[in-house]
Amino acid sequence: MINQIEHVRRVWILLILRATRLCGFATISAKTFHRLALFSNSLAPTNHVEAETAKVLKTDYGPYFPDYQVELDRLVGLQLIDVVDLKWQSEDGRFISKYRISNAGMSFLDLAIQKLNLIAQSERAVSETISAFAEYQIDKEKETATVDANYGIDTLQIGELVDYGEWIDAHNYATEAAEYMAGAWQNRQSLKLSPEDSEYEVVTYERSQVFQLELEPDDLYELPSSHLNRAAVYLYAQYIQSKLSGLIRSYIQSAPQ
Amino acid sequence: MAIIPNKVGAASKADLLANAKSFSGTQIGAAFSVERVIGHLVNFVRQSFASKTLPVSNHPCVIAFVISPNLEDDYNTSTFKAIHRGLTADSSIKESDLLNRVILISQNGTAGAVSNTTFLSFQTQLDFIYTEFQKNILVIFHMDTPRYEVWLQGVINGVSYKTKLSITDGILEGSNLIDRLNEFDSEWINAQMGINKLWSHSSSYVPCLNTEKEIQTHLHCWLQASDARSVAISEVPNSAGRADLWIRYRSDEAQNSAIIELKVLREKHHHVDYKSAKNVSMEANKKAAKSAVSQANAYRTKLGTSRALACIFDMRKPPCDAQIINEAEAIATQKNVTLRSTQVTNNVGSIR
Repeated sequence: MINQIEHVRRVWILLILRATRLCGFATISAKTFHRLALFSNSLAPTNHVEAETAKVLKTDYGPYFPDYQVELDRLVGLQLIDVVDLKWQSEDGRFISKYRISNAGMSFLDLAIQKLNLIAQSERAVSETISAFAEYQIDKEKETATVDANYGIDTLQIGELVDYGEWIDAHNYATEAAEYMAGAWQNRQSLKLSPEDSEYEVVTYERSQVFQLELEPDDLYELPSSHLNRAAVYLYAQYIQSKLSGLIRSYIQSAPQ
Repeated sequence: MAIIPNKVGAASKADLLANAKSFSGTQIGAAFSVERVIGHLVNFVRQSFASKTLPVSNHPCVIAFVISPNLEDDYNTSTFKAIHRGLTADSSIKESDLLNRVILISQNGTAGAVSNTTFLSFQTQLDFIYTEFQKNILVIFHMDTPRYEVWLQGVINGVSYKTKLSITDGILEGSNLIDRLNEFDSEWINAQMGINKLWSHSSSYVPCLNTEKEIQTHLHCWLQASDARSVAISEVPNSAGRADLWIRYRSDEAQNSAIIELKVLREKHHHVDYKSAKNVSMEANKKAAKSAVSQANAYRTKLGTSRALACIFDMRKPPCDAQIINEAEAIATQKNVTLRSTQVTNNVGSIR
């Protein structure tokens, strides 16, 4: 018998795989899945939805959600997810495979989204995030996840948990960075700081990097039709691609409240 | 069923439509809604033609997009070649790569594949689509007129519908904005799509849950798709509250923007069991109409826009008492707010 949390987790996993299928790449590796799970969870508050899981394990092959992997494999057993390219990886001593949502999984989820408002809300949040990141080849970029504002915190070592909302005092830098960028976008400001403003002196090297990231109006207008929260997620995806979201985090940490 | 303009003609179009699959856009603000993917496609076509304005070809031509809910399976390398960064990191598609071809596109509009074959006539193009993708939604760009049109076709809950979305060169200001809003009324609100989405039990005048939000989402996407140089933003926070829609143009000047506030007048409240739905009082409707005007005015001040529009969607049972609209109109005139009132129909018969 599985508990309620596991039910919710399974739905969240299916939502991620449904979104990747609708984005045009149905089959994804476990590594890509865990990265998308990280982004969908850490940016969920941007879409006014609580993260399903607000902690992730830092491993040498990227972010990893042990609970998600267990449920992912259980969903394969339930035939809601198909396994593709199953291989034995001798160096790690484990099977690796690619996953895709099955037609049964799609039908189940479509019905659940129509009938249950809570799942529909989560669908919006997950779909927006996956849709934003689907434009980038996150599986091919080795550093994609490591520049995430939460995951990329330097003080945390491999094997440690990154907590971005599980405990009360935990900080979700990804959401803060995304909302900060959306705010700048809304007000048509560049993200660069004012050089004249002495209050921002604390940010030195990072600031000079942020300077280079001034958003051009043309870039902004190319954003897809935007709810502000959608713009936030898209901007964050862009910054992840630029490998500079950690610098935005540094800026937020340093800026006066 | 005249879905496709007569000038192009197609014997198999009825078959194509009869087999079209319902598009799962039931959620508010879905990342994979038809309107949103159209916005993407419009930008895609513009970029491919290296044009910020409308591509107008010298000769009649058609680009047919088939929206695939399962691109990976539909994509056949012998018939198609991959395009766009989602699949190939190639975003350098040119005009000649698109004209008279069939483009298979993912449901968020970012990944796709273009047919290796060009089609000499629209008929052969449709035949190809019918053979290969009979269950999918089709979006057709006609580019033989200065104002080109996108035709959507599909089936919602077993009922065929059509949507025509006009895209013009004019930015969303002045009469052009009003034209787009009027078009939204006739092509979405009072068409099969709107009727299907806005009513919980139409014959009893019971609206769906969160009607205003549903209209806001679709109008937002509609306006965004209408002109790529304007940006439509929804739920814009400001010190007076949250503005429903904010239209901004490619300009730094504050006067080139408009605020739109939406309100719905209802006959009944939403209820899962339509027989238990309670009536909405006249006072509540009156308050909603007046607040649309006052909020539009307040947001204009706070956000520094030049224009404020209050759009009222009247879902009451006709004949409706005109007093509410008249009173709101008087306030709108006083505050220099453009008031639009749309009667929302509850059945397909009344729009034929």
